[in-house]
Amino acid sequence: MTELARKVCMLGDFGVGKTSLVSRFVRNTFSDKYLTTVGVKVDSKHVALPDARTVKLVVWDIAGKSALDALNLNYLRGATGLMLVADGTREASLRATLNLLMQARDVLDDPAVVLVVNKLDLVERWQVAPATIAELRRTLPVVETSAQSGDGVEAAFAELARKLAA
Amino acid sequence: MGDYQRLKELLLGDERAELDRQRERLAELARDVEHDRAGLPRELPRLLREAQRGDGRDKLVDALSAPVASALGTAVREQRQTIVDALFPIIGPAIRKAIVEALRDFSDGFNRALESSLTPRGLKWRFEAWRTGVPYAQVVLKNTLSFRLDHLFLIERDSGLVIARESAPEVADLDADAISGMLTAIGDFVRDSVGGDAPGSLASATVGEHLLWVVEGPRANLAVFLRGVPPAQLRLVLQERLEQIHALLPEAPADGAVTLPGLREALDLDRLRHAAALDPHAPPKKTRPWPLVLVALAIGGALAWWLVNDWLWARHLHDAEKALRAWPGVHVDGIDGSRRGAVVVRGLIDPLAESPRAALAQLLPPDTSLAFEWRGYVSTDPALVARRARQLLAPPEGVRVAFADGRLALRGVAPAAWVAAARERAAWIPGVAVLDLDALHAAEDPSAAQEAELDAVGEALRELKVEFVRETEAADPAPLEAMRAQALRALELAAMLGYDVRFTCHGYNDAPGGDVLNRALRERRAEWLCAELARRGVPADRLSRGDSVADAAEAPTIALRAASLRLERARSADGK
Repeated sequence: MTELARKVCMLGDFGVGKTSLVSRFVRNTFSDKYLTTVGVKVDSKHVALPDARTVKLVVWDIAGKSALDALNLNYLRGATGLMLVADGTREASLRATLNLLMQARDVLDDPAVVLVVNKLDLVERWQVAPATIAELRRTLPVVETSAQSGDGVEAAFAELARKLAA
Repeated sequence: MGDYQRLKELLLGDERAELDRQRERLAELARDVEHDRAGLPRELPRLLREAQRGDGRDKLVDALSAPVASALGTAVREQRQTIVDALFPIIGPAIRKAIVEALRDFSDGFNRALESSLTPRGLKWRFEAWRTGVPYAQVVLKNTLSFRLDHLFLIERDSGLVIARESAPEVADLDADAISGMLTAIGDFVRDSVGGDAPGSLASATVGEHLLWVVEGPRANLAVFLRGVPPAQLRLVLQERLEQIHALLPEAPADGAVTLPGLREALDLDRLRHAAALDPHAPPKKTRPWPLVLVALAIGGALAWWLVNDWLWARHLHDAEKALRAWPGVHVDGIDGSRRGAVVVRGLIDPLAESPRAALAQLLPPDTSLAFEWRGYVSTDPALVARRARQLLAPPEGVRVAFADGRLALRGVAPAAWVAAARERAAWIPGVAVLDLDALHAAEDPSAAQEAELDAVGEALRELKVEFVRETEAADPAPLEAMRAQALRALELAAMLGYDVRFTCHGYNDAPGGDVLNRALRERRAEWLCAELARRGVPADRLSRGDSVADAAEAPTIALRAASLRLERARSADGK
């Protein structure tokens, strides 16, 4: 074994900022048009771990939907990590994201999960209450991010990488 | 309750109570087991899923593999139709796919063959196919299909992660994980969009000269990015390599790029390209021997032509050298004929010798360049000595010069002054050991004319021969008559000059016959000649039979079946 690599899928409702987060995190290899045509776009990036190892995250940015169809479920095959993305300004997106997680668990065997609540730059308009986030943190790692400013993006992926390499 | 009962109660009460409790518990356990048994079918899927968590999957596989295999075997034997029905959706598409691939290959080959049949290049390929025994279609493919392997990815089938990869050194690097992920996604997308639940996925894609082939396996796929026109054989090679790789892969899904023994060799691009160029399934080539035979004949013919010419040239050189060595007044040091068509002769030549150029030119092939590198010398060759004697002595008419075995003989009649000068000069001529002037007479001597005539008679007799048809049957009487006349004249001259003249008869024979018979035959011929001459007037006491000498000639010829007469003279005893 020469290199640790993990498949990570980005799940979230339409417009929550998944693609923007990925763009912040990786060097875009492919055009975003694949999201609207094929329904997925794949990129990769090496992430350094605290123990000096690195893990290569192969990130599958799956087009935003409130529910996964058969094709999207196919895209999930072989994934060991999920990056759930919700829009802090839309509480419904959080519920949709949690529904997607439930769907994904039917396909995947105990995936590593990190919940990202995006659009921290619009925190004053957030509908997701801090208490809700605090409640979620009891079961999931939750990272608040801003794809626009980049805040929390690296940390979110680093957290997922750490869980994947554990 | 009686006392007995009360006593039992006192003695065994605790044990009975314990017994009742245990009985009740057993009944309870039996109810639970019955309950669990009833609920097991409902719970089994969940339990199986839970059993696969962590390392439980491997244990489950170990536990189930043997009974599942046995069950499958039993089902194939006992419920064949059910198995056939179950596999029908797989078998049908597989057969259709194989037929489609075969037809596509056939169509491609047929089209290429048609396009190249009647061109000079096509004819050349046909000759190559005929010469090597390879089918024409394969020759066309070999010459037309040029391709280059850029990248080769071994991709984990479910996750799309790259297990291993190989890239040509000259092509730019790329994000293999992202590309293989997208490739996997697009494969899923294509299958979902086109085939639905049908097996199979994206097998190939073409953009200009760039071509993508995906070969599917149960756990991993091979994706190859290439350029040009690859042979159909390449896909078969890739499938074989993928089967080899599956045997190498560990049971657990790969966590990313792996290094396994043999994996790198299986993915090596050069080896793949080489393997694709060969056809391992082709029957052994039946090489037609004719081209090689023709080439061998051509080479053999050229070699034979060269050898024959070389032999002829050597023979010409040998003849030329033989002629040169026999050439009067020439001493050959060497003949250089190493370069065919040119001869250089090195050696010595007497100034009085004739040039051998014309004679050599006749012995050598036409257009042969002939060059001489001569140095002068004085030859003792008899012909040259005689020629030199004539040049130095300048004999007058009536004097003959002869040279043999170191003896220079001058015969005839010449002025006394010249005779004296000749006697003095002749001793200085190179090659002359003995000077014979017995037959040279001074013109002032009154008997010189008779002397000269007697010499001439002797020489004339030497030239005469009586030839025989067989035994002693003369072919022509004329020579015998001439002998008689010369002999009688010699007797007359000898009488005048005071010589005692005698004649010796010699017989000869040709090759056939034994030594004893031939010797007798020679003696008979000599005796016949003496007798005939005596019968014709030559005094018998002057005639005698000479020694019989065998002739060295081998071929039968009338010239050797002969007899001759020799004149011998000496001063008579009276000193006259």
